[in-house]
Amino acid sequence: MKTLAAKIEYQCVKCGKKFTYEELSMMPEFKCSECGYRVLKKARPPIVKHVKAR
Amino acid sequence: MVEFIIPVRCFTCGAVIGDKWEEFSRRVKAGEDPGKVLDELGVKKYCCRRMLLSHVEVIDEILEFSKFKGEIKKEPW
Amino acid sequence: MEIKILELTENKAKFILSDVTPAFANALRRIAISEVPSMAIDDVFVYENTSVLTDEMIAHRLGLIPLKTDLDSYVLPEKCSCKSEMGCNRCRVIGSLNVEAEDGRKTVYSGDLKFEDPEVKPVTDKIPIVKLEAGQRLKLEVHAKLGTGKQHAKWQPVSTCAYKYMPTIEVNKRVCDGCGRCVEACPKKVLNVEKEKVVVVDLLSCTLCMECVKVCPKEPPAIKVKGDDKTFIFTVESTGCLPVKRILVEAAKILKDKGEELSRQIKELG
Repeated sequence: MKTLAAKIEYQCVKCGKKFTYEELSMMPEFKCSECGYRVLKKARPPIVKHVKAR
Repeated sequence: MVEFIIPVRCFTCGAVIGDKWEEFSRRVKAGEDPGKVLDELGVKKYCCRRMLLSHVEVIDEILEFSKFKGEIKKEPW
Repeated sequence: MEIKILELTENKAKFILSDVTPAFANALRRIAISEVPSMAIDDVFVYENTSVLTDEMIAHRLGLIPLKTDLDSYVLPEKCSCKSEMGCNRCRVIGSLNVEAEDGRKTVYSGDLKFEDPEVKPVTDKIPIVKLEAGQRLKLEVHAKLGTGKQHAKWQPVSTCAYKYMPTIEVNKRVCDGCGRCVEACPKKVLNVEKEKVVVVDLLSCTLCMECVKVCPKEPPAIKVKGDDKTFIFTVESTGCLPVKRILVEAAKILKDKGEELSRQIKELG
């Protein structure tokens, strides 16, 4: 479970810098290291999603 | 009915009505009688008429909230 | 069997079919709705979607867009000789949708869909799929396939396919006194008073509601309304994916194939 979690990428909403789960857990405070914005979102994984048009 | 964006087809009969929304809402906002606009657009069955007549285009308001205040960093795919 | 055409355009047909049983007329109607194949998007591969609608919502809307269908060049995926899941050039068409809102709001229309086969295109270019705000992007690949209305309503080639019995209205001229109550009661303005008698002016609009019979003050009523169950007034409207004439021809062909298959199976039983 931890190896799967490590591949998840999070992204700062303001400047777009990406972090992995590991980097985030190592940070003292939950904020972007580049611009200091405290809102992070989950970056869309680079997988082509197949959806049925039904 | 309130939908995000105008449905593509009439719920009851399946006739395409999505392409008629923009002209319909523009003309009704300008003050024309909705019944007359529907007649001129060729929307005859009342199942299709209610699709346009009672639609609320909510996506316009939602888009206001998706506006990005900072600089948009674009990533090449 | 006789067909008399009242109205025939590319997408709408109104005709009178006579000397057939209700079972036959109904079979034609049901097959036209659910078994005549048409082309629609069935698979959507999302590369990027930063719009306010979810991938599934956009895919659902894409599926509902009617596409111009070429029944002679393509086959139903179940019947294709390739027997592959991804399909081949005979059973599916690949298309793409690539829109970015550069600065300001932009609407993605059905006209932005581009297919490998230039003959396959949406029936109308003006259907809005999604609206994008500045910086939002939509990038996806679509596969369009043939299918039937039985599998999903997006593959129904018609929007209206209905019939009604041919009305027969008899006015007993000896009893009728031209009071005009039936003329007022009729919601479709089928009757009128001429020379103190009631006459029929618009027979085909009659919906057999029997209001005229109910309000007639005479006992028994001077007007008799019946539906002829061997003559049918058909109204068929296509969504634009196929010309309406082709839909009816295909429906008749499918009905004939069903009859032949039944006959063949009965013969095999011995």
